[in-house]
Amino acid sequence: MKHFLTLTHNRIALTMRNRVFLFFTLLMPMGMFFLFASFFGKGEPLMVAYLLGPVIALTVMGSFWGLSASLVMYREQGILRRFRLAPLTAADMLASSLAANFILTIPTVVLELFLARWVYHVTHFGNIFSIIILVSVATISFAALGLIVASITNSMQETQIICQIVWFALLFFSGATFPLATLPKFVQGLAVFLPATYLVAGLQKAMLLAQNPWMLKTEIFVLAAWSILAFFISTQLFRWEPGEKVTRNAKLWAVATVLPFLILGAWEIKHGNVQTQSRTIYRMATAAGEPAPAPAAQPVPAKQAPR
Amino acid sequence: MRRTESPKLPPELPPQNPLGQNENSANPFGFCTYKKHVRNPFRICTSKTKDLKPRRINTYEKYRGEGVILLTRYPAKGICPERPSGAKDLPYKPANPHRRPTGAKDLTPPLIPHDGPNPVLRYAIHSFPERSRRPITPLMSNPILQVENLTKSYGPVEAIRGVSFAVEEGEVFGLLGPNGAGKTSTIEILEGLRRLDSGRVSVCGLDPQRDPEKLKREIGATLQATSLPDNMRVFEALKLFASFYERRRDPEELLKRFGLEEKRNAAYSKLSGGQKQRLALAMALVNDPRVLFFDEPTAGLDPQVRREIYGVIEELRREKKTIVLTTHYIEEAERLCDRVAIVDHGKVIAQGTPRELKQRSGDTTRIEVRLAKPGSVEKLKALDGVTDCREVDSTFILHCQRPPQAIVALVKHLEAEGNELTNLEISTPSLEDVFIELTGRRLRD
Repeated sequence: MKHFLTLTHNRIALTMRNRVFLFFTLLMPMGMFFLFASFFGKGEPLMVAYLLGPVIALTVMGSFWGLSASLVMYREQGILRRFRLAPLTAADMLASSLAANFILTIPTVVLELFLARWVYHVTHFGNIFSIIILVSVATISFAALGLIVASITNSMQETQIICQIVWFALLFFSGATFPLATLPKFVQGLAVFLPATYLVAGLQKAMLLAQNPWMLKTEIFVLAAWSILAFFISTQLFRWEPGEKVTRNAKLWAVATVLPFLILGAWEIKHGNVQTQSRTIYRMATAAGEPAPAPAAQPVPAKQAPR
Repeated sequence: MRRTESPKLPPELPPQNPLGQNENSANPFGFCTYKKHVRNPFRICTSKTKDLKPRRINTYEKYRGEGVILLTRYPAKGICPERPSGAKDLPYKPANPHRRPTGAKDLTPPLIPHDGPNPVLRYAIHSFPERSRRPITPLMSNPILQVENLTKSYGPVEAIRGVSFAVEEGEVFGLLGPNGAGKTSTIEILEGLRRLDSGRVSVCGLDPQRDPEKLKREIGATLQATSLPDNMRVFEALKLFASFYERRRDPEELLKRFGLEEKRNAAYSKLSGGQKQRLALAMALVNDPRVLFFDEPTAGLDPQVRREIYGVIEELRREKKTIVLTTHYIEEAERLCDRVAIVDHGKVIAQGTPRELKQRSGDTTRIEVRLAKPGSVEKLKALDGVTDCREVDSTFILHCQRPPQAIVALVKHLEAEGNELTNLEISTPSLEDVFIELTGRRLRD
């Protein structure tokens, strides 16, 4: 436990020194925030509140990119080998990167909420308690996704490719960029299998419908289960040595982490209401101002800096 | 599931002869017990070789009398003719069922090792032919580190093929050999970073395979191909790594000692090669370790920095630290090490103090000559004062007891042959000669 704390502290200190990181963790989400709020939301408080869901989701989701890249870089450069000589466990290393990422991501989310309040006069944040829980769980679970990506890739290149694919899927098929309600039917069918969908939907329900954590239990539970599963599997697959290559078994294990969302997605398709709910919320948000068209321009996908 | 349960194995072995044969008949086998390994039978019992099931015995018959130890959890019927009188059974301890299997590689070491002793579960049946009767490692009063018949393969490549040595407390031990000789693999097994295929290793009385966590508190090391995060600062690194240990040295003191005070707040990426290496050495000392491992401590450094590092290691040597270092520099081994093992192709080919080793190569002066035209080794060997001659990459190396006579004789001989000298070097014997003598190659080929 002591090792975990010192490592986390060290990790935060190192990341704060990295200017590229500041750009990707602070400036990029801020840019996205203002783009969404002013351009797509037209400064309408209700529409801004609606768009806060995707913006916060994008901020939180970015974690996985930076985390996997830094872990793979540490392994490739033999930094992990040096740590391995000390009496540290894989769990120490991984948990400290999750914790450091958490502590560094939360301020940006808080800043976004404050800016929404002051600049765009969003007065109702719905159930703030739900937002806190959702954001916390999601920060950890998307970071854990980063750990999984790192555990199934051998090189930085592979990591970047996989992150790129995952990022685009999360971005465009989940309602994080375009409201789920405006997406084609088959994309909506795909969206129910993506964690980001539930995060965006959960945040919007918390903000606009003021749902309490108990009403959002599915979203919270699935994200939490996913993060625990991903963390556990990545401690098992953790590799210290640059020479150790990923095995086929390891890949299978990593694929197992999608299970919670496969199950939830299947359930959603059968009985679910994520799609209808998102339609309701979308109508509610757009009805306030003049009917806003779906955002036309695509925001630049945020590429996280190696931390 | 590899943990094959054995219904045949009762909790206690009946005291009578398990093979049902005469106790007093002539027996080429002996019994031997290695308690350390008794608790982990799964290292040797795999689904592939469910040990000596009767139909398989013939497979091993050919090893009879070959100086092998048979590992089995079953009474070794058929191959072990009988139970020698006075043999003791090891207490049977079932392995911890919660223990994770130790990885596929560890599960399939050769059931019959190529030579030498090996872990034994219950019966160890061995016979030593004459050549292996002498002890492989010299007996020591207090070895802090012991390696016996270590083997390790990477796929089809055998990196280590039976390495044995022991290191006493307070000595500097060098593994000298060309690149790819298995030095790094050996040292990383000792550090607990790699798993061994077979053999026995103990460091500070601990098994690196079994107690890696305990071991890590007792050792310090510098690794090859390692690094720190670019923006980590020097003092920060020392402090961070010191915080992982209960027994630790003051990072300030280490900073001073390794001359890194000015660089205290410099980022790792801004350090020079020598400074990085000094930091690595300082970090190896943060836990005040009992044994230090330096893997190629001066590789890739320029001569001046290398001497600087020698100074640091010599100081540690004066403090009576136990150090194991690997190197492919002759000079380094001669200057720093109390004892040296010369390693080539995964085997120790010579072992002893640098002086002993040099004496082995005849303790003669060495004259290296290059000739304009090809010459004959035989004729050069016959020259006055020359005791030996060999050709290594078109250079003739003459060993001679009386260099002046030998040179005169050499010049005369060349004149008579119409040949010419293009180059001549005289040197006192070094470990390189030992290496050349044993392998016929230069160390840095």
